[in-house]
Amino acid sequence: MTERFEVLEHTADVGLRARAPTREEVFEALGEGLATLQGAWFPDGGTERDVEVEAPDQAALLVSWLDELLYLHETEDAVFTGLAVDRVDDTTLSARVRLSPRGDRELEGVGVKAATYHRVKVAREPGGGWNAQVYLDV
Amino acid sequence: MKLEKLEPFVWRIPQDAVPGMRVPGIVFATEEMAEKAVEDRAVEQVANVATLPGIVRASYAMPDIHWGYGFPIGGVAATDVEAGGVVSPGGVGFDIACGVRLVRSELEWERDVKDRISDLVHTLGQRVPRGIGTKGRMRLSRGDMEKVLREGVRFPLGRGVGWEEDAEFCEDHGVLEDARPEAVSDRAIERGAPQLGSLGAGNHFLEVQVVEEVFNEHAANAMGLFLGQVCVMLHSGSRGMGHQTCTDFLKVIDRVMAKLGIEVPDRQLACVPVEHEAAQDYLGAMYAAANFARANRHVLTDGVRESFEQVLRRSARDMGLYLVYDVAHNLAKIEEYTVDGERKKLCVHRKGATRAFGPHHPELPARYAPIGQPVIIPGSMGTASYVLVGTEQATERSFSSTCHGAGRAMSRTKARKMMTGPELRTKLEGQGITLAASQWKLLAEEAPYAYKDVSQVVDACEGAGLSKKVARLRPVGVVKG
Repeated sequence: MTERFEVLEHTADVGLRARAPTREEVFEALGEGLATLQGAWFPDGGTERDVEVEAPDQAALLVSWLDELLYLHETEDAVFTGLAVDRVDDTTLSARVRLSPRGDRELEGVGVKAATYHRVKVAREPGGGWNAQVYLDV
Repeated sequence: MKLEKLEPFVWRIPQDAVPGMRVPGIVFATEEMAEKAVEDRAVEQVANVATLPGIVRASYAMPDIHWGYGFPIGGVAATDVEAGGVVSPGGVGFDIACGVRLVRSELEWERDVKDRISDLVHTLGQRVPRGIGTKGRMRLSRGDMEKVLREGVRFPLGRGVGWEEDAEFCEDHGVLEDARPEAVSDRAIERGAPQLGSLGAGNHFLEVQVVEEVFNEHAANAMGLFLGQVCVMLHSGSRGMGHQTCTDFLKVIDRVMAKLGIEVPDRQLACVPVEHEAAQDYLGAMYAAANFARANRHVLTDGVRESFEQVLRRSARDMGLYLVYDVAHNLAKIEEYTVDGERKKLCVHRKGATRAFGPHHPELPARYAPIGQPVIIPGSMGTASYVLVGTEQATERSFSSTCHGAGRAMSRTKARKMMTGPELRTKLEGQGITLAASQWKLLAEEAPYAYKDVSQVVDACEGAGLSKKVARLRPVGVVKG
């Protein structure tokens, strides 16, 4: 299966880009991209929890969404088993995140520190659909 | 973007390179490094930083410059606090007070350690928690966290962890007194509480090294370094606590900046005047994260001493495992400099750059007053590292700053395509380097070929007058985060 996101080259860090028919799917794909880079994407089982994020605009919302995932991953000491973004508007996001205890798993990931505002973009595609990109500090 | 050559290692970005530049840009580099920085678009980021309100003299880049986010990595910018100068959390970065420390010993490689290196690396690998999301050597309650954020290395010292004299050889004696734990979010405290004394992942590491060349006997003597000596270099930062603090304040500063009508060419450069309440909160929280970072490296050092004791069956004191110095390379501090003949209070941002005070600076420990501040420059895995000292000249040239490492030259994806982790391991082991990694698959992302040549970087720093070489160390054991 092809990945729903694309990894962008950056000398020191890593970028992620996604295109999808809806903004929700784009946010979902980038969340999955982050979890994958972190070596913490194990899509099976887990416990669901609701996530709500707010920001002044949609670009900041994308950064906050990914930061929320990093926060959960670290403080819950958990891996991601599923992500469903139910609704995104310009300033708020509602999602369901499935987490499973990390247990003994060694995470083979880049060690993402945070999402940055550098070249962050969420935009409607001219031909319909959405695209977004974000750079992560690793 | 074109660079003008001013001197053999000094290049200028004219003030009209991007709209809104308040000062020119200065890049310290060889011709090759300067070309690469242009190609990499890092030079554009130097120019963008030159638009920050209150910036004085120039927006600087050290020879290990490469493309960052907002600020370039290797960027230095000082703003005039009393003239509306700003602080920008992006100019410090997410890994607040990430830095390096060097521990020396009385051990000689050939005589004392060579035969035990496998055991030693293995033991260090077990006693030094590392990798993504790892729990540290100390787990703290909320109350303890507040103490660490306020007291830095004094906290673990109070618990009997580490040696009293370690504090003296840490930047700011291991504690920034202006830290304000009350400005730190609950989330940052929650993330930091289980992590004190953990290395982290990515480019963080611990190396057993051997001094293979001494360039400056006088300075090497003052630092207790000698040829053939075993040292330990450690690179780590403020872990999730610092990452969360930067994340929190980027949001706050982004909002306040919009209200104040300040415009910057890259949102990651979000900034507010230092005298604004939001900036004061950020500085207080950032200093608290810096205290956490120092305490983190301090606690990790305890694991290093224990490992040596376990493997070599001698006490750490007997082996002379003393701290040479601990210095950060992601930090903003209020420092005083003379600008245009006037003494000014400046907010000096160093993003992937190391403070490098010259001889007799009042903040140096007495032992280093005659030689200047030790600067510890880690190379890429498997290549040499350097110990440098600050110069008087750098006060004028770069607000007492120099490089912080080799500087990346290649993306992680590209690095991984060139060699697999196990292949790289075999290659490094063939060079006599014993390795412990937390993840072999991604090891190649940190391969030596993904970085610039650290020797050229430190030579460029010396050529530009920013720092002087004291000693070169080669790795014999690597513990990767």
